[in-house]
Amino acid sequence: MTDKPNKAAPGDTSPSELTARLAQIRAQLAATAGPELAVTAHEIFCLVLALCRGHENPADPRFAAIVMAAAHAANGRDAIAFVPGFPPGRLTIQPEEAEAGTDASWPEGIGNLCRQLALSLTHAGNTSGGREQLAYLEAAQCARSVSDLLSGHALSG
Amino acid sequence: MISGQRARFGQLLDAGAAALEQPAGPRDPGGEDLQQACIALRKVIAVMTRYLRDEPWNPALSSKPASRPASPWDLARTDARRALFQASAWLTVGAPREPPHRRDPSWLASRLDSAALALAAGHDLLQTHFTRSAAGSRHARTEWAQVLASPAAEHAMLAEIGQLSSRLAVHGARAATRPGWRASPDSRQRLNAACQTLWGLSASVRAADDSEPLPGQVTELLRSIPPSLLPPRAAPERTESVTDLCAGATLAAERSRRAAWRSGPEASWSPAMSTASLRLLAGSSVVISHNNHVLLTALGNAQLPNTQGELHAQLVAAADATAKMRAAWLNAAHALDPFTADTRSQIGPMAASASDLALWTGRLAYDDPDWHPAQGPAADHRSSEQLAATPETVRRTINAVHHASYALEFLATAQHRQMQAASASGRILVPTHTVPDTWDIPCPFAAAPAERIDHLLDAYTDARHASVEATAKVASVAEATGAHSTVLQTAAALTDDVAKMKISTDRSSDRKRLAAIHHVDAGPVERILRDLEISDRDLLSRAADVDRIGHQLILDAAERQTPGYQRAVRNISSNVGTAATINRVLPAATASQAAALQTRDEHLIEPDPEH
Repeated sequence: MTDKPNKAAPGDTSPSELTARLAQIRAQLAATAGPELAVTAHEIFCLVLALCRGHENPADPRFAAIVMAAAHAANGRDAIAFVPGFPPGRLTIQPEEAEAGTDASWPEGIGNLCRQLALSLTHAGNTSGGREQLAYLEAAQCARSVSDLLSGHALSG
Repeated sequence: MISGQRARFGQLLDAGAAALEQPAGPRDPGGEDLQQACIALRKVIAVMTRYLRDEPWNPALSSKPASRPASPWDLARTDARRALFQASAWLTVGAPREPPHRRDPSWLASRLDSAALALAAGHDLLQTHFTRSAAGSRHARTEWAQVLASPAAEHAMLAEIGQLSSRLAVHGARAATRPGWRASPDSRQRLNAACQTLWGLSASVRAADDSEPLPGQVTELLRSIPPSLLPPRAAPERTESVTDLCAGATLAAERSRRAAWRSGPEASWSPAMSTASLRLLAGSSVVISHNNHVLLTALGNAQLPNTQGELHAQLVAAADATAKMRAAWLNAAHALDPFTADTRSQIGPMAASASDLALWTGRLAYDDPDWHPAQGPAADHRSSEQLAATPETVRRTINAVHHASYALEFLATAQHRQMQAASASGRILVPTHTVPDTWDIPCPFAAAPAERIDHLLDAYTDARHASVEATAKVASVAEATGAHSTVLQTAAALTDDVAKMKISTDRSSDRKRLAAIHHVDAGPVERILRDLEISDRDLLSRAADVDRIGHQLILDAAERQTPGYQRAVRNISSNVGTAATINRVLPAATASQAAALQTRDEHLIEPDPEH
């Protein structure tokens, strides 16, 4: 009755690679605005989904949080794809290959990234209107949920 | 505070029986009035008649079996209805029109009145699971209605009525034949005749039971049926004991079952059928399975008092089956990843109840009063000692795990059904660029093709099968430990055939419907008719003819092109709609026709025919 250890999936990312990638994405996120923000947010949600799927190990004490974070990441990805004017060619709804093999602190890194993403999306939502605002704010809520789940912040029921 | 204790039908039956056995009060020195007892007995019989009057077979609830010879239980039912009618007639015919003055009712009449009241409450409790249409037909309101409409439950009800008849007959006949009662000989005779009829009823039911014995579990199931109304939704606080948490998890599981049972066709239009709902439900189901696994593993590691090796093996098997259930639900969650829906953020009742159940089972599985899925690695599993402190805590824990597992069966079935309804309405979407080129859809998302939906449906079917397997393993533990949840297995056995039938037929018909709408070989005219959901064979055939004539016209026109003619439009397939038509024509084209129709690239140097 023991759970199997996390198996390495294709497309493993080493800790340093992921850290560098996250730093690059954060810088990109800080620099983007307008329609490009939607594309960057979409890419971030896809990355989070792939990372979560690659780390769904029942033996991990964070198993439940990671499973739920994956659901919120997929919801965020869908929400941002409905921003009017989102380039259809950038839609990558088929998830990337699960990413595994990163260091144990990846949830904190992703949690922080998603917190920053939530702020950017909220700002974009508050400065737009109509369906665009709805999509941005919906995606911001998803980013917040991922951040809370992966950072270990308890949510209200 | 958890209100886990709800009235059960059996408690009201017992209250009725207990009322008859109350000790007699001080007797009236002048003798008790027998007529009062007759009137009270008639009331009890009237309530019993109501139990048997409800139609046993309702097409809305379950399919009526093909014509078959009357079974002993069918005969018993007919006998019972006749006997109750006859007994009531004995007590009515010849009775004084004016009821006797009830200032000082007889002790037997008081007992019978109490029994009638308890039985009427029991009947009302069962009726809360049904509703009546304006036309008067009875329909299911809850998942228990299917159980109640099953023949086995009806037999169990007959058995209860038979036992009650026997008790009533004893009391009534005693009053009719013994001194101390004020009554005319005629009244005594009529009461005695009514009681003999009740004994006859009891004998008919016993004969049916001898011929086709009624499993004890069915009687237990019938007696355990609660009223339809569930207590209000409650989130766990920090103060619950293990017993409270078990009760809360059980109630949350019941709520999930109800929500799953009620879901269905509305998925074709309801905004509550959203991607957020689908993913929250799948994720919560993974967490519930995981929590169940943690609990079963903890119990498997416990030093249970009077433990037999067999129970330990059953717990290990149940934990393993639960791990498979978790994997199947995780697979269903993954299968949802490539899809979205036309509504996204609204959370439906099924997903909300599953989320509650995940929280309650988590609070039970982890030794942290603040446990939440967002909890970091700090949360420890609840110790085996806490869960197995007494045989009663073991029973309650297994009861909660069993209810949660059974709820997952319902949720998987309901999700499957919802997905069918939503996809048939074109509400499950994929990016347009991922669907076949022949689809001309001018928007970013398009209805998911049938074969991709099939993959998703397969994942839910697997989740259901794994949930059924896990529930069966947990049921064997429940039986070994004496947990009350064993009735769930009986309920599943009575209703499972109907549920399975619904899944298989619905799926095949929906797949055909999807295939019909999105027929990839259809020409443009035929596709328009299919998109309009025209199913008339003649109209579709005419549309196909028009498309064929159009194709032939294009081929004939291509044939008439002069060799070497340079047409003005370089690529006549540049438009998606035109390309689809040309692509459909090309397989039947001759070499010259194909050459005339295909795309020309001015950058390509055509080979010199001389070389």
